[in-house]
Amino acid sequence: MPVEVEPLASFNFREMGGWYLLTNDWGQHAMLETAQFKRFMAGSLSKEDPLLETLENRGFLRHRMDFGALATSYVRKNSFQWIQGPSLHMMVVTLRCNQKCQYCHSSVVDPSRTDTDMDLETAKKTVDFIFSTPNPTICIEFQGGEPLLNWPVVKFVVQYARAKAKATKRKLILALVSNFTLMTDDKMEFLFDNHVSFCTSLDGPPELHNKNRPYLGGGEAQQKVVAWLEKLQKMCMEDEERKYYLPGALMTTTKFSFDYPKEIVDLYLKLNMEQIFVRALSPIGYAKRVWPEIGYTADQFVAFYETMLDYVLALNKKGKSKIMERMALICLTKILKGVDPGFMDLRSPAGAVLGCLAYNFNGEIFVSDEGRMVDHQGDPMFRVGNATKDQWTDVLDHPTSRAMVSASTLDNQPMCTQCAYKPYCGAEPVFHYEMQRSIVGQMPNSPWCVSHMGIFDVIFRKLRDPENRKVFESWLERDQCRWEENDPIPAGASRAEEAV
Amino acid sequence: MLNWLLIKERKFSIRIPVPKKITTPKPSAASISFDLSVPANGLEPILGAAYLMMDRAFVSLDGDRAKKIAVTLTPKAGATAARLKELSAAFTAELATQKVRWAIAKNNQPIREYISEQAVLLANGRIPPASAAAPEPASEQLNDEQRAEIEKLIAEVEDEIKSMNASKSVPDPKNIKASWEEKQEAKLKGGKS
Ligand code: SF4
Repeated sequence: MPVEVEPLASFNFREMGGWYLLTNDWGQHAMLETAQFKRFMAGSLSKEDPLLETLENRGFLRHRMDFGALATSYVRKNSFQWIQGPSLHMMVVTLRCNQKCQYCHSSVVDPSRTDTDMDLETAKKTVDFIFSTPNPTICIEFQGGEPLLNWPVVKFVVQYARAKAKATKRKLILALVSNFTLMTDDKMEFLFDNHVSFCTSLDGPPELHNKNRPYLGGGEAQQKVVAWLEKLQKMCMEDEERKYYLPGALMTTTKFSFDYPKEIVDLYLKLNMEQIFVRALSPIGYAKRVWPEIGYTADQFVAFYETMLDYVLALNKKGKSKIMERMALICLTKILKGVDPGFMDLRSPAGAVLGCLAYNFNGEIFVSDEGRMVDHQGDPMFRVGNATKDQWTDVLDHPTSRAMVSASTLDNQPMCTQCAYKPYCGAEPVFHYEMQRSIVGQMPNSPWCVSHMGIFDVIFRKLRDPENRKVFESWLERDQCRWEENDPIPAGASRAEEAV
Repeated sequence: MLNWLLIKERKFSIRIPVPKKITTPKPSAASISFDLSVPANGLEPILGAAYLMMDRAFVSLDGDRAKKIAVTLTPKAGATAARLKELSAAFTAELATQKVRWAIAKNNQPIREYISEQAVLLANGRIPPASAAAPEPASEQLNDEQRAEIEKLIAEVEDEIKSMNASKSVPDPKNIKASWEEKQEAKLKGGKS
């Protein structure tokens, strides 16, 4: 193929089988048929060709670039780069849990181990540390273990953080990630009254969920989650003030999920969930040990993802449901709207430290919750301080923090810097450390890359179909409404992934 | 001020020759090797193509980084004559694409840097945001006065890019900017790294 370099502006491209995808750093994209791509590369687009104007407007032609507009587009797309400090603070108030999940990301201990509960003094110092970070918006997410096992500390942190936010005029978002097995009406009322939103895990129908997440307290975990989700949904819908606190649910894919794609979506429909988030399981911490029993290849996950997305799209097209798939929504927000939805994993540099921090029950600070899980397996690699004695600047200056930023900047990655998905993607250092013993990773061999490239391929291919595109655009419109009505956090999503 | 800036089209262009064949590969039992001329292919495209082969092969590079590099590809999944041939064809294709990507990247580096710098200034409130609705001038409809203004702007941008590049020669007493290879070479020659 002859190439005339001079008229070409900076861009990356990918052969998609019969057509080419072009993207640039400013967040613009174009989908060209092979013949068009060849003309473009050869510098032989005629002046009358309407494609010329499109490519010029999107910054793909060097002789006519609107620098101001492209810089504006770059700023919008990377809004997280201009915000000082992390906004998402994950507090592990206990390591205890009453479930024994197959994959347990959080690497938990037995319910009797109260020595792994955060005490009040550590909780206070952790909140003080959080408020010493510079982001004007603070989102505290309670994690565990099962955080409701250390309810007094949850309650204290909610009240103390609210008082501090009021005194310092900071915006505060509170979220509880719980398996709901210990939820009571009193706790629920307290949480509603203090504007704490709810998020849980729901992997699918009972036979799947209970296999993935066995409950130690007797009875079936899935039925409890479903009952509380129904109750919370009802309460939110009946009360104008509470409608923004619609509960969210996250599904984690194990290899057992592959047998239930429709059943999982149907359950979410039955529960009137606004979104379903088809998430891959990361072989991090405990999940790494049991990977042979529950894991799969990245290609298998992408195939499953496409099956799920196809079913969700079909339901939308037939008018049977308006349910949205969250991963697609995150990617489409970047691709079609050119704005950052605040998803920590898909950022360059990644969200670790600059976007989020995780706090263990004893005050230790980690670059992310995944970093804490690695620590739980005996490797302190991702520890960057302790909230009871360190300052925010110590954490920011920590060599590990700096290495994380450098390793996850896609322009430093030989393959990512040339990848058509660079404007939308991210690389996760903890994942690559666990898989490849290098925080930088080696993308040609990385399951992270295979699954993200696969998901982007699926989404871009579907975007070429006008009917799919119509559905996708309707999702963006509805999601945007929520953002506008209810600050930048969309309802029904875990705050773990969505922070300013 | 006009929002659109035209960068003067130059009279020449760079043609990227696509290699028909690297050299005749010599299949051995376990791997395939061939030599590549660095001046003809460029160092970055050779390294880039080698990196992208890592999912399929163990890649070894040897030789003089200024002149000639010997590439050896050893398939990860058992070597057969057909697989070795496939690998060398894949490397050739990657190399051709790498040459295009690197040529585009190098040709646009000052512009990318300029826009990124504008983005930083914009995000810090140092310059006002561009109006999204700014009308775009159709170059065919420009009058003489507008043409003259554009020519002036072009000259300004070119100067700006030149001075930006010139100002990049910041002191580097600790030789931080040197690559690992450069430092190793310096060490071998008995110099300080
Ligand atoms: S991780 Fe893979 S898909 Fe993502 S930008 Fe890098 S090369 Fe592209």
